[in-house]
Amino acid sequence: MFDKLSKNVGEVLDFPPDVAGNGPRITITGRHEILVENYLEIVEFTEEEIHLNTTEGELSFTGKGFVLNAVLATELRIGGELISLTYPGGSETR
Amino acid sequence: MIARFREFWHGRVLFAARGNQLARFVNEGIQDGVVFYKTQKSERGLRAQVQIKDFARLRRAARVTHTRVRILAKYGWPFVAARWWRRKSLLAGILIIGITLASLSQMILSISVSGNTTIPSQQIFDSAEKLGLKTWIWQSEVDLPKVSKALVEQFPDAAWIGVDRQGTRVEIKVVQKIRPQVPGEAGSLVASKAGLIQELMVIQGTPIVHEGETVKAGQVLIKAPDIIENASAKPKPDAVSKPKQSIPQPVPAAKGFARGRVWYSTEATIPLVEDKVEESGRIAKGWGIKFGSRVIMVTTPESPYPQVNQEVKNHSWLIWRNWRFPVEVVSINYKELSTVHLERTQAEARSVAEELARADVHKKITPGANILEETVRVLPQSGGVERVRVEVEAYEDLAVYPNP
Repeated sequence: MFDKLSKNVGEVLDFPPDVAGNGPRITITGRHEILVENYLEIVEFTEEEIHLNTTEGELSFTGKGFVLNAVLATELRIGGELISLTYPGGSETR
Repeated sequence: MIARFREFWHGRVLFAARGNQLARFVNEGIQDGVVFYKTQKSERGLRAQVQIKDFARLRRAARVTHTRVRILAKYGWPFVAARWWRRKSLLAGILIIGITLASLSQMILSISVSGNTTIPSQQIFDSAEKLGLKTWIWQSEVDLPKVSKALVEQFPDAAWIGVDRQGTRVEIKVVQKIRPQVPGEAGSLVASKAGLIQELMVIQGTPIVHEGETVKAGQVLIKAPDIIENASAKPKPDAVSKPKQSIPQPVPAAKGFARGRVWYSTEATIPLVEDKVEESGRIAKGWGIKFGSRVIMVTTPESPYPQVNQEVKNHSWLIWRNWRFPVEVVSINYKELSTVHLERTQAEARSVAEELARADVHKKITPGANILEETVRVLPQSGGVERVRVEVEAYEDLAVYPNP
């Protein structure tokens, strides 16, 4: 209810979506630095794959030599070589 | 850099985790407020770093997810400090050694005397000690120039006494007066050089020579008085023993002076034709940078003159104690040399030779001597040279105390 309200208010007031919503914000700098904010939890991670649970569904990264440089409750810094970023669940999210 | 320093300051624990629910283990940890760093997964499990205070909080996550956690390494200041704290006595020992060395290096630990031939070293040590220069005292407590000045005054046989400190070692360098060596004549007055005695005044002692006599260097002029010892003298039996006044001890040394004429002479030879290398007065300056034994010249790398006299100056910065900055600035003055062809007339050559000989002879004359007469003789020359001899007759005191 509150989520919907804040989303609508945000739309009316022309807030950027990362301020109004609580979906993940993903910042990729070059190919070797990824910053994910507002994720929910880590589902699985190996050196080649990282799966995260977010409000927008499952988010997955594939690449080589992944290292979680810093893991905080709302923030995740990933190092390594990124190959792809996908939402494998497709459009089945809310 | 700052992040690295913070990492070191707070301390990190590197651990390995094994289990089937490693992702959940991380999630549970995050929920408890743990921050994971450099988390990596391999076939053998998970490796991650956490701060020291976070490590204990991992316990619940490990229990819930049945994960076994093993510490691999500990980094950072808290661990280093703990290790050193366990070795308190070692630290204290190092500190004590450091303080001891530092304070010992500020003291005078050894004193040596060199250059003395007849003055006993012990006598110099004793005098120095009375002036405050001794071992096991602080270097700042002694004024070394003052000590050397006072020592010269105390030892009339010393021409110069230098007190030099190098680190904790003090060296007293003595230069003794050069006097005629006449063994067995200590206390007598002898002639310092050959001359003709004209005035003899005896204050104490026996004159051996008379006025008008020619003496050689080292010849005894006034003999020291003998000490008269009357072995048969006995105090009168009925004499009332009075408290004795302090009687001055007889000094067994001759006193007096013997003035006379002394002759000095020097010769100088000047050729009529001469090729001479002299500085022309032109100077080129250059500077460069010196690193170790390597010199890189910034300006004037080569001498601009064919014949040159180089003057090299090193400017180095003394940073701390005797540690120098490894890079020095070098400045070089190239002084041009030129060959001068001189042709003199006979009169010119003579006057040059005379000047030269006169300057030389005046160096030999005892300071303070009265110069009576100066004669310049032109000697028979051969092969284009002029020979001149300058003879000086002086009137001075010849009597000195010899070295035994």
